Amino acid sequence: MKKRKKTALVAAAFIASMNLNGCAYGPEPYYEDPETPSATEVTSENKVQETTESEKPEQYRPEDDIQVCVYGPPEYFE
Amino acid sequence: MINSAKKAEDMKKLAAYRKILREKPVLRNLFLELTLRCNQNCIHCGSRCGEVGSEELTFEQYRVFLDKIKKDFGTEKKMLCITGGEPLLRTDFYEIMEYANSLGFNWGMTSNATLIDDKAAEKLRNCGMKTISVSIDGLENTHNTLRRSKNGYERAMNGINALIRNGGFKSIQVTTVVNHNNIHELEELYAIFDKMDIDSWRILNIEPIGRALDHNELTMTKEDYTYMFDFIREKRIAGEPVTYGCSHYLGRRYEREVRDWYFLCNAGIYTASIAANGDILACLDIERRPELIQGNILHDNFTDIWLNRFRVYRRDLYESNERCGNCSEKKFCTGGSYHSWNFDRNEPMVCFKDVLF
Repeated sequence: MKKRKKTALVAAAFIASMNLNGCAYGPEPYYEDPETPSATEVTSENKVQETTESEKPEQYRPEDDIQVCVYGPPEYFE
Repeated sequence: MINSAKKAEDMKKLAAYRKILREKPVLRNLFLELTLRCNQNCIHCGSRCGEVGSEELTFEQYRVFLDKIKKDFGTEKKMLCITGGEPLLRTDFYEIMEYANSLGFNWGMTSNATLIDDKAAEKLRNCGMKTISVSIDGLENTHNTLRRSKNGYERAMNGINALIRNGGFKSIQVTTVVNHNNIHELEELYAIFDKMDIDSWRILNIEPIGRALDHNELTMTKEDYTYMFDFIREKRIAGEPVTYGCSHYLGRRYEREVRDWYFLCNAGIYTASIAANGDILACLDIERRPELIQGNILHDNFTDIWLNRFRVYRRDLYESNERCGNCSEKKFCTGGSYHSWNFDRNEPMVCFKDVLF
């Protein structure tokens, strides 16, 4: 199989190092995106260093989601 | 991976966007069910192929329809999703798809691949097929048993390998429908697919539609579901192109972890479908009840229906069910997928509350 983006592997290594995968019936796992600043670091009193444009966490845009229907083929637009 | 706070924030954005889409739907996926004939007889077939007749539109009727779609909607960011039955059983299949390609439509197909050899793969590429999803529902014996096809597995794998060998496609995907009896084969299937140069592996749970309703023994348990979603998530964390399908709200533990998007039932907001006989509905897997079939392309204007008569699909299903209406996740779930809603009892046939979250 072709591999997914390398970022997934980075995230995997990070999560593995944090041992936060969670058990099947355990509580919801909580972990930070390794590419974003930790939420605990950002408080009103403790604002972390300013980030450059390229360092900002990626903003989610619902319209960019690729959707695949139940039994349909993979979506592809040229 | 995405943290919980960001998931909550994203899903709020999606809920707001869903409202906009219901007012201004965007046609992205147009399903064409070319036939209900099939050369297999799957015990979990969502379309009950083989039991139902197959009235079919002619090439000329598709030509007129596709001309109209291009005129009214254009072809940019539109995808024709070709399904059946087995689409390749149509003798005029290539004629239809060559015409769609000449108009500029991107198209992909769902197939059992048993009719694909090198010659067919070349023809599919030459008439513009971009993507394909091929069903492999278990190891060889399991696949053949589920599909009631003596050599279906071997033929399907030969078909996939012919597609890979010939190349030129944007995405070759294998789809596996998981049930209670084949879930233990996922790791062995992974070992097989990992050696193949496919683009992705989509794993779905069996849905309570079509002939699957007659086979309670295939229904997945709570443990099966958890195992399946953990399996997908772990493979994705390892960088494998494994994904769950579109169905169902999964709760914050699994949303966006097992697929690249948050749950949004596309029916009627991104997706419309034309059944084999020309009936117009949002999704081919939705129960084909008279009140949900919005017209027929042989005597109704599809564009008018898409713009004005698809309201039945553009609402929150939870509003008609007390339990769903009281659920804390209703704004994100909205009652779940249309194809798994029981319209007689006004309740979801699949709900992962108390299963996954």
